Amino acid sequence: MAIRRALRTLSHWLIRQGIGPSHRGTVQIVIAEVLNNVAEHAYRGTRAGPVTLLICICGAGLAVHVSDRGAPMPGGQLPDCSAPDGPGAEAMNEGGYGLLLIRTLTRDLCYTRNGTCNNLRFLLPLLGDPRE
Amino acid sequence: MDLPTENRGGRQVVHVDAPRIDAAAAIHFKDRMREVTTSGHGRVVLDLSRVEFLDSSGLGAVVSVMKQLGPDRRLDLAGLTPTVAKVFRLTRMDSVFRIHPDLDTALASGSDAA
Repeated sequence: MAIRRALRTLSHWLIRQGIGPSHRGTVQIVIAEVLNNVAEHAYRGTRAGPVTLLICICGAGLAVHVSDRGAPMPGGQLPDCSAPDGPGAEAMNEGGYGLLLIRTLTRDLCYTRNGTCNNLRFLLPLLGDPRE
Repeated sequence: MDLPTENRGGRQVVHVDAPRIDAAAAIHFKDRMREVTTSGHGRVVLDLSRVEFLDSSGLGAVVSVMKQLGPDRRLDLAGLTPTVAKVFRLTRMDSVFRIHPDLDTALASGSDAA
C-alpha cells in the first residue's frame, strides 16, 4: 500500500509537470516494478525499510535514482531476463515479467552497491509529445 | 475486490470492479477468480475496462487464472485500458491471450475451438 501511495504522489507530480496520461502510464509501470522488486527482494523477510526515489526531468525523459538499505542483489548485479519465446501456457512463467518491463522501457540501467545501500539508476525516455 | 459475473451467450463474463491489479491485489484477485469460475462452464471473458493499472504481479495472476481454467475453458480478455494493454504488449502476452477491444466484440467473436 505504501507503493500505491508513492505512485499516486508521483502521478500528481507528473501531472503538474505537464506529462500526459500515456507517459504517466509508462512511468507508473517502471516505478511500480522497481519498488515491487525492492519490497520483494531487497527487504524480503525483513521489516519494511526506507526507499528513496529521486526523479528529475532530463531532456525528453526522466532520470531516476532509486536507493534502499536492503539486501544486495544476488551476485552483485541485475539478473538477466528475456521475454517468453512464444505462446504456450505450460512454458509460461508467472513471474519474471517485472525486470523485462523495466529493461524494455528504460535506458542506461545501472545497479551499484555502496556500503549498505542498493542504488539503481536509469533513464526513462518519454518520446513524442510530453502531453500524450 | 468485487468480481461480478454474468452469463452471456454461453460465456461467463467476469467484470473486474477495481482500478488496480497490482502486487497488493494480485493474490486476492487470483483467489476470487478461482471462486467465481468454479461453478461456471464454457469460455470466460475477463472484462478489464475498469482496470487502469496492472503490474507484473497482476499479469502473473491473469496467467495463473488461465492455467487454472485449463484448455477446456479459454480465457479471453476485453476492454484493456492503454497502460494495461502496454504491459501485455511489452511482455508479448498479447500473443498468448485473445484480446478484444471491448466486451461486445468479445461476445460477438465466434465460438470456435476453445
